[in-house]
Amino acid sequence: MSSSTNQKLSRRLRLNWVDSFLIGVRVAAVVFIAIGLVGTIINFANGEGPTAVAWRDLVVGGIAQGTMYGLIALGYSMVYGVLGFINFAHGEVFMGGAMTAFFMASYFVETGLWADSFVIALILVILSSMFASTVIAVLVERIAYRRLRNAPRLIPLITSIGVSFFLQYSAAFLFGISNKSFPQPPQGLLNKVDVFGLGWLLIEGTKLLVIVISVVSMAVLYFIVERTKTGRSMRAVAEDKEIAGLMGINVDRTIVTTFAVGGAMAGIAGSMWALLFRGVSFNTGFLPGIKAFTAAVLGGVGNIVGAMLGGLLLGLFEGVGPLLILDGWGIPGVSQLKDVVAFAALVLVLVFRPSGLLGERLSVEDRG
Amino acid sequence: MYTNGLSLAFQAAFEELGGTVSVFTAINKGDTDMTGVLTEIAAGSPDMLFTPAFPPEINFIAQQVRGISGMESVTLIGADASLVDNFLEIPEAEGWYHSGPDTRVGSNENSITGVTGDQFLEAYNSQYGEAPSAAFWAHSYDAATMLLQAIEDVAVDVDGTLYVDRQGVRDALNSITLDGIIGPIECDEFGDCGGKVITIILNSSPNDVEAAKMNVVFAYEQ
Repeated sequence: MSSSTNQKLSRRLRLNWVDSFLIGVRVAAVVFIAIGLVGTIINFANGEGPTAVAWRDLVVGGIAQGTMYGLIALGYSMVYGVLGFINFAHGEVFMGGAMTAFFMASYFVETGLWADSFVIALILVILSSMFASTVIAVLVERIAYRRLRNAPRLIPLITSIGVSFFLQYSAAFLFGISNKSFPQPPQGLLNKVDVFGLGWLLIEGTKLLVIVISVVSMAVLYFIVERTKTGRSMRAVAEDKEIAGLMGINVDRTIVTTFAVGGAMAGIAGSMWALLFRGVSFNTGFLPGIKAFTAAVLGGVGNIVGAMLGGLLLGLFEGVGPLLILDGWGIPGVSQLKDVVAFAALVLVLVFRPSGLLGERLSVEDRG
Repeated sequence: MYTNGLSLAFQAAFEELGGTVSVFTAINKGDTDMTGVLTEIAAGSPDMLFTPAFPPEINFIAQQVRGISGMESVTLIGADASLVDNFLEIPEAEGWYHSGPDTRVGSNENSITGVTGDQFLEAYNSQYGEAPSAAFWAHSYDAATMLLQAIEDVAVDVDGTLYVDRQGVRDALNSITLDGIIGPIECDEFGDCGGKVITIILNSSPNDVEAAKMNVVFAYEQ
């Protein structure tokens, strides 16, 4: 090809080297994933690697973990949509819910309610977690963030990091640093349940319970945000605080409601986490908080359905990804690359779709 | 890195004695869902799982391992990182073996301070409200008393200022002999001092952690 044809071609495509590099990254990612998948499929056909039953368990575990990430991500997403900063303390709001769940459940074990009437005990545990998390979230907003409403965006962010450390180490001081063991649910839940009577879809009872409760909570939240008056004012304030205030919406109260609803969701996630993993400590909230924010970005920041979807997908990538893709390459000891896979997935989604999967919803001040 | 070293040492010793290692893998600190790594391990059809993980990760492993198909009857062995109340008392810890420092030290008395193992545990519990969070608490206590004794021996008070010769403390440490809570302590030229007994315990009673810790099935003396 002559050089003038080359020049015409690149001028037409308007390609500079950055664009070419990014296209190269996309192609390399697709090829990498495809080879890994093919390798895993070949292994499976040969009878090596995880069995079909094992894959089913992996997917279910990923979904259970993912729904909890989704619940926490809702809080991050809503606060970012309304106030434009990442509330790092939200992970500790979640931890507060989990700690409350531990204390309530231990108390119920002592009084015997846990064994006698598990359903009532569980409902009370979830309600108390929601209450505790909501209280923490609202207090944090009132004490730490309200004065910083008009400050440059970086200031509330750093404040939230400080609040996060404060809450973590207050919990360590108050409750000790050891891992608290949440009581076991009744034996029936620990067995596998045959869902829909299909015979092959056997899900562990606790995981099924967690998935169902989380999905129901997300549906309730979606209903509140989309169909009620409170939800409408939340969406209006998220869209444009100033104009919403001129329309007669009490902006302060709506922001508190946003924090409260996000906190309640995190509380539910906390009690579900305690129920599923049966271990709570003062830094239980740190890593899930970061992953949940990642999930919110994955699905599109400010977008409620995006947060739920992002959480679900992140849980799936984390659980299934290493064995599905990396094992096909023949890499040994693949499970420790779980976090690598999850965050690489975030990077790749953003490379292909920079505003997240379902698009971001930012307020007028942030849209630039 | 600590657990990696233990795992590698175990692998080397196991293979030397004729065993085969089917899967050698790792988890991250902070992992909660162990389905992935346990599935990876189950794919190798093991008879036994050795995991020197710390709580809370080992708690999650213990709770989830029996739910993974293929792992229902695998023998489970932990190391000294899990030789703590935090792990031993959960119901799923029943049947686990643990390797670690000799735990039968309650009645041994430290000859420098005169405190026995049991007295130390009582004092720790009443000050912090929980048991020590690592298995080497007796080693820490004895080491601390040795260090303080060495400083006492070497330090010189000149007009109200305390001078402590660093090399002097190091030399003094190497030459101190005492009866510690872990047993007789005497340091060789590599700084290895005492505590030469490693025991394997079998946890058959998570509801009575003290008895569980005393259930020694094998003792290895160098």
